[in-house]
Amino acid sequence: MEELREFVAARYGHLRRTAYLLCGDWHRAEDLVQTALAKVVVAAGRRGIGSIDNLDAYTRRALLRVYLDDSARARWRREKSWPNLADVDVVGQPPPERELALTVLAALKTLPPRQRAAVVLRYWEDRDIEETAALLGVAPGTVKSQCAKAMAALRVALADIGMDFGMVEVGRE
Amino acid sequence: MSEDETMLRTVLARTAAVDEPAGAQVEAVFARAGRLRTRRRVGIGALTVAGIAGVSMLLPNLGVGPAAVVVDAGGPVEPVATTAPVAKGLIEPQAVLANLIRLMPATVTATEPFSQEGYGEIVAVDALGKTKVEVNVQPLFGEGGKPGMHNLEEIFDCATRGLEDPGDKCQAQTLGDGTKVVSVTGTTKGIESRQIDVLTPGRLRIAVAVWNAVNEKRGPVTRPEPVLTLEQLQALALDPSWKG
Repeated sequence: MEELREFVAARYGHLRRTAYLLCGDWHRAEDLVQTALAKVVVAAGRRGIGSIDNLDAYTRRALLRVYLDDSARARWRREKSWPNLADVDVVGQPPPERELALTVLAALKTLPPRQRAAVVLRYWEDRDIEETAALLGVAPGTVKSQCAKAMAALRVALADIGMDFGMVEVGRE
Repeated sequence: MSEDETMLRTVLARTAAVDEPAGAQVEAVFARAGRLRTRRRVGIGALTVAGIAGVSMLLPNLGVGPAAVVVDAGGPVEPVATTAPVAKGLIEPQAVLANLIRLMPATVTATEPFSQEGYGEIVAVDALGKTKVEVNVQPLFGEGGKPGMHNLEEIFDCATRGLEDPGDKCQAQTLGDGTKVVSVTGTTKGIESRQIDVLTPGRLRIAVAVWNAVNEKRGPVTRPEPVLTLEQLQALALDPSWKG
């Protein structure tokens, strides 16, 4: 059990950031991570932590499943957890980092959940194409095209606030 | 990796660092794991495997007789004390599911049950086909709520609710006791949806929805129309049993 606690404590932060990029809200991310890790704890408790081959990959798959299942149900529950750049109350100029974050999250929001997951797995989790495809249950070619679409969407979104990928260091002029 | 891909990695990393909460909620994870184990022991899984076609409920409030549960094999479900905290509203998973099934018409059979805290779903089967039915029960809606969410009461105003499809029809009303009721109906890709959202004066939200499909996003259509009329759906959502 102590080993499991250490595993949960060590992985929690990174998984929460992954979940945040997937869902755009820290509190929903907290919920997703806790649900995923709880499932891992139950499975590891039942089977023994050593019996799960590659606990990190198992945990990542659990988080993805929880996120995708939750996304499928969120359509009609109307919980507006995504920040909408047009709706955010801003007093004065928001800090550049927060403006960047809101823009990126808004751009990610335009992607369907699986496409969003592909982008996060490839460019945040640093998974290669084959592993990303395996985690999502799609062909590697699908991952490539999904990531290309995401790239195009982010370019447009950043351009809307006068930024492009080459300007991410300097913020809005 | 291309320059754009490298930049994408950079912006994602910077995004993930903004306003990040501190600390790992390890105890919350283990508390949830405990509740998960409890839910499995009380037999939600048993309802699923025990010949679901044999599970049917009679609806007492339609005067057709006392409720009866027929479980095909699997044996009786033994109640196990849950470690989940008591909250306003009927949110315990088994209770949500049992109540949803109890409130369905006598003409349907409840299949493929699934529930978690504050949520329950079934596939209602009758002679005309299959309908997915979902219920969400959210106590203290909008209070002490999750920071980062917008004003959730705008959901109960058709002008601000944010309808999914421009063709959706929305009606909002406030009942004599202050209960707010919103109904939304629409058809997307041939799949018809009916939704009722209720907010009681005690800030208990009950949201129910039905579709004439089992998979409401991808289809296919499995019934000419959803099994519950809007009036039946509203009666279900307004049933006082959801107050717990």
